[in-house]
Amino acid sequence: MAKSKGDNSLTALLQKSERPIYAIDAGRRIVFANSALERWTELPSQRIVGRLVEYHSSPGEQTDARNVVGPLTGLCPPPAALAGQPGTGTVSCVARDGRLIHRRAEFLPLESAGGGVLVFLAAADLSSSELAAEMSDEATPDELHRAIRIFRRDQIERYSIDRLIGASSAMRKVRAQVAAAATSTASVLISGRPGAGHADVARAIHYHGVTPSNAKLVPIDSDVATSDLLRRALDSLGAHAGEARQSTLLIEHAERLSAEHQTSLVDAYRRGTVAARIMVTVECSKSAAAGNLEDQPVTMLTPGFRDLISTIEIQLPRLVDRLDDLPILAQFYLESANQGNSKQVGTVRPGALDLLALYSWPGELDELKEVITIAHGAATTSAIGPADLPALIHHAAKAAATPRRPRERIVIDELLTNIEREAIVRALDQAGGNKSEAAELLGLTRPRLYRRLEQLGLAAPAASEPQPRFEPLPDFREIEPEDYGR
Amino acid sequence: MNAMSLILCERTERWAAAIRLAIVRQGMQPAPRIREVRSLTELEAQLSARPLSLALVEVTRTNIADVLRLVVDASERHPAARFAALLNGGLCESSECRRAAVDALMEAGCCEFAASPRQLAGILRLARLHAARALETSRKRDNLSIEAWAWATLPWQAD
Repeated sequence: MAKSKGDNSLTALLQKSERPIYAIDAGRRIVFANSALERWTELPSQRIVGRLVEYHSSPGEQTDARNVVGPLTGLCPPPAALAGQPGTGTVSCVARDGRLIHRRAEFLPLESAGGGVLVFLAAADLSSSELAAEMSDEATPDELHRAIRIFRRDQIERYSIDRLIGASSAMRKVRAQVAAAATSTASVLISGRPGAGHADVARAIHYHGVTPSNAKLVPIDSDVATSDLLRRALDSLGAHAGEARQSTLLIEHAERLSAEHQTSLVDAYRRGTVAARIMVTVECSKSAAAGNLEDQPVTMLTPGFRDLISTIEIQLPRLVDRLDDLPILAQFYLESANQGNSKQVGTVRPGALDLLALYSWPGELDELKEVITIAHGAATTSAIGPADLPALIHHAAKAAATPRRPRERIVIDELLTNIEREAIVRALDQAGGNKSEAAELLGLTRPRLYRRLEQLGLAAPAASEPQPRFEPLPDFREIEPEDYGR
Repeated sequence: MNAMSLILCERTERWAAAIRLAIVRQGMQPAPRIREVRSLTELEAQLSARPLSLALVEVTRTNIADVLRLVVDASERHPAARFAALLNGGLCESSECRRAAVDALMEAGCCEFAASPRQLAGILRLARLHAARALETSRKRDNLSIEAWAWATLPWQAD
């Protein structure tokens, strides 16, 4: 009873404090918030108590702060405090007008490690100059926390669904699919020609999903995927499997992921050890008509992997199939080129747009962006005209009417012989003419190198044995032959 | 004509020495040319000149925000470039903090991480895979014939 009475009086004492105070438990859930904290966060107690505080998570406040039911990221103590070390730092929340406000805070861990933390806030917000002064000091873990949160907030802005531009029916369909995928946690397969913006679509789904704001995005580039990298990625996503985290494992260029790695992923998902949705991008060949996976010889997806990833399939349209979107896309990339540039170009003239429409855009949006950037650099007036476009675009119309270049033919034996000859010449050059050393560089035995030199017509006549290649050093006195032996 | 360069961005030469030595010890062929820069601005300039590069960036507690921004921006501008993070010892005290930093760097686009100059196996593996991919990309991008591409892959290229 006495204990209970003490608890009550302590709670009442903390409750009455003018300084905002809150406590989190070992599971990082807020278990106590006093009235001053309610006033500061402008949230009622029932919207604070029970919420998670998560370190290094994206700020839920970025989208709709007042209605967020996920973690209160700004109130998370720094890692040292979570590890049981008392200290000071800053915490933040979003004011009613949407501004991020900060206060100094003292963190009092209740156990040496892994226990709860009691947090006492200062009575007043930090002014912008005080905040700037804090930021200018040597970085603390708290600032690392802030840097990562700012990064995630920028990512949300950068990968907005609205940036999937285009009024064509094909793009309207893509946007609708992206919005639908964002509201679910089902696996997603995104296909299209190289440069069609696969990664942008995948990130738009992740950053605008219903997933909690602390969800991770773990991208894997199939070109450089190794078993070790894959295992580490799965470990990082599986570490919190018991929690209701909805992170994303993004496999980029999955057509280049080895069958062994595809099987590993299927096994991991079957075992249920990965607490993340899987999203996959597949690049179709440039000649593919409409990104149809069935037509793709390059698609090397195993049946099990295909089953795992294809709940929602989004096919990105080719630019040539949505030329109506060309003006708005060109304008978008032009404005990107204007950003941070002293040179400002306002528009793309209709004549230039006509020329752009004649091009086949094998590199899709990436290539359009590159072309507009080049034209931006070349423009001498406030608008991009035909003359500002790169030569490639000017040749497009002619090229369309010109027969295709004959297929390149090679004589394989001749090519290999030439390459071998060149490699030997280079090895001899590297070895300063020393055949033993050259043979070693080439992984050949000395007799075999001699044979090849002869066969390839590289063996020098006896009279012209390789001369030493060393030049006399300028500081050395030249030694005349008659000086020898003196 | 060596398609792949390795750009190393660090304040001192701590990582450079270890990487050069590891390349020699592992007999990586063709050995990538290492270009050292001392600031992220220089790194951006190098990437613009050599968009097929593998960039190794030292990450410290004070530059992590700038590194995250650079990796996101540069990945968009140079889709064929790849990034790996060299984690400075003072980046974080706690393992949780370090994990959070690694998560964010990976999310930004870093493919590989090294926590110490003594642990470079992953970085070298990435360099080898990236080099193979960069050659293929350069062949497609520069519209090289098979023969021109074969010449470009020969060892002992002039820089």
